[in-house]
Amino acid sequence: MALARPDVTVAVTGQSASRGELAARWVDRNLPWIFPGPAVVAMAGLLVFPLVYTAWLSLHEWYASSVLGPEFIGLKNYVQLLLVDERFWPAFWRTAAFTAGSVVLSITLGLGIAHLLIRNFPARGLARTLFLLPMIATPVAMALVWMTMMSPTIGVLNYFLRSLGLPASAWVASPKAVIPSLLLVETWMWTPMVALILLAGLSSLPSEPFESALVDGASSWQVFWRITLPLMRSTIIVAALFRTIDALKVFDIVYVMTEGGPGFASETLNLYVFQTSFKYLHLGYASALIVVFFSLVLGTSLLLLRVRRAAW
Amino acid sequence: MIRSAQTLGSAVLVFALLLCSTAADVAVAQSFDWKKYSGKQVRFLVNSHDWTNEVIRPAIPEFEALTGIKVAWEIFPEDQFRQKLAVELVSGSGSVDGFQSLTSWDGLRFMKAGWYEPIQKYLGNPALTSPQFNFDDFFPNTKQIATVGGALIGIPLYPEVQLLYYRKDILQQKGIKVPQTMDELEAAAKQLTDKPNNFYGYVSRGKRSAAVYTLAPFIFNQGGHWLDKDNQPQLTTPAAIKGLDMYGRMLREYGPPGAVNVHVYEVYDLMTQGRVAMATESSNGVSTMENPTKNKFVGKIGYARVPRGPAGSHTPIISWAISIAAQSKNKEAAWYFVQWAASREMVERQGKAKVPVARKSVWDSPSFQGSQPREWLDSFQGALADGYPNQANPVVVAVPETRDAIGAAIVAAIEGQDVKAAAEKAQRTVAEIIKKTQ
Repeated sequence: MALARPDVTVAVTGQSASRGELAARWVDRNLPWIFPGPAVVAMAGLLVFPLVYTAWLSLHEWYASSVLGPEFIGLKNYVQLLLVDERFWPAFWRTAAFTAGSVVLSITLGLGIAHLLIRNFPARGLARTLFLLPMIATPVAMALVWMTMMSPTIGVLNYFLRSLGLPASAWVASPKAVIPSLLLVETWMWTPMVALILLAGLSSLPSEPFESALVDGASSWQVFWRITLPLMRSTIIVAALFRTIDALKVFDIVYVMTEGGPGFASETLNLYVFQTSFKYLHLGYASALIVVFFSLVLGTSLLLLRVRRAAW
Repeated sequence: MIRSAQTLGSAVLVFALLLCSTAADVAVAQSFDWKKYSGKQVRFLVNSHDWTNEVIRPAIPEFEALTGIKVAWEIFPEDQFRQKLAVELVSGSGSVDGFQSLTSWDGLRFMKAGWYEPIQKYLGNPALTSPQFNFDDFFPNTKQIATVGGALIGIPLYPEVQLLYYRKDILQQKGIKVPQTMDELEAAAKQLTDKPNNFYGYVSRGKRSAAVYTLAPFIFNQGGHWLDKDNQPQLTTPAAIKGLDMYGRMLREYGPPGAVNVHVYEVYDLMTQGRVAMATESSNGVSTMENPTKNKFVGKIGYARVPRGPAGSHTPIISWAISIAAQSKNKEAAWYFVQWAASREMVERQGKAKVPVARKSVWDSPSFQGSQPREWLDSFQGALADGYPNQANPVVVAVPETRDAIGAAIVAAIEGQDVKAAAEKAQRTVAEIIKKTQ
């Protein structure tokens, strides 16, 4: 850098560089650190500080009081959480089941929709827009609409079930049917996003393998199973990654539709953390829950990324 | 001449004396300086309600003109209000000068956290309280509600009890008289339920935490209580189990499907849409029931006391109060607002807006007595006399957690699970919670 820049001052005046020039040279040398500097400071403030503070608070007991500050109790919160708490593990397994269900459903349906939308047919543009609508609408508003539709007495879904001769369901009012009902809403809302990602992946596949398979007389199932899927592996895992992270953190539809009910039958991890922090004001214990939850999401994401990179 | 001068003189003297004493009275009345804290600013965080929206908010400019104090009146729906208030108070920044408080819910927690400013010292100070305020005008039960740990922490605003709502026309049609006892309530509900036609005899709350409030009379009327004098939960006493069992049975057999998701708004909706014959709910429902735009069956709804059990008829009495934050930097200015908002004049306006009042003089006034249905007024006063102040839930520090634990047992009862086991689980959990937080 110094070679490329003509050292005018020294050449013309013959004097040593002044303070201003020293500063300019220092800036020039340290440019890689100075430009990102403000962004790094902001990130540190907004991301790192809360994480560190939460981890610190998780080692304390604090019931949100102005009189008694946080009291250091070491790892007691974690022991309580993992061994004693009657709501943590059920919430954990529930969230895991919900996530698995959501990912499998949306990838399967998304693949199907992507295959449909990649064909060329009249009004394809319109079809694509319509399929995307559930993703674009506000989750909370849509959840409220679904709740009205799922109302056991005046809901339209039960009306359809009854007119088909099927038994009416209590939907989100039944401890058994509540998770499948929430899965239905979640899948309806987010499959379009998965379909979009998979559609992009599908469109970028090379056409040669498909052409040669057709020439070799492969059936469409064989084409799908042996050519499309392996080629799409990367894309599918990316879509699965997005869906997994979001499903693990599911909150808005659960909070709006059931608030974890009936009883605690639909309480997911994120909802449990929220109740503990903002309803019960157990800030110390909630911090421990957050650290565990964060590790869970981070761990799952890292696992999926490794699967993506690993040889099949 | 001298005699008439004398008469004139004494007349003038008497007149002057009269003038002086009247002037002295006027001077005493004017001696309360409303403008003492002019120029200060106060911020109140409050809960969305007819009182905060329709009564106080439009009148704030009057207060600002009277005192010169600027008021920020921030209204939020209940859940968001609670979260925001808690977060701001924890931060200790003094950003909140005053707030509304439901003492049955917040009382012990806020007291323990040091968030309330005791107001007895303001009430007792003639330099700070207008002589017209008259705290003795408030119903004694409401004063007790606003007292936590022996200290008065707010001025009670609108008391609330539970009542039995019923469809007068349907009961009449079927020849059923208004249930007076719990057994009569169940029998009537059974007779009125017509499931094939989507009509149900009884409804009340079934949603986890919310249902604890409406379960309370079922337990109290059997002679039970939430806590004993050592602050231990009483959820497995025969009275509690009987009450819980009956509540679950009523909702399961005679209630609409999806009862476990029913909160107060759904109870009102089911009544106003004519899907249920009877409901036990908060007395606040009267404003919806008497509103022709909200109620298809306006005029057909009757009000009665919650039917009695072997121990009588007792419902919780709760009331929101308006309090001052201990961390406020403008406590006296906040007090000025509090006493103005709870002054006789403002409470009269509250009564005109059909919000129940805590001042006896306004309650007894012809204008308030004429604005509500007679049945509602009589039932309310009866329930107020026999009610248990603040007993909407066990009065503990960790109320939301406790309500969730008891609510889980209620949901289990409604679902038809083993009531005794559910009650025992709730008892264990609540005892644990109390041990950890008190």
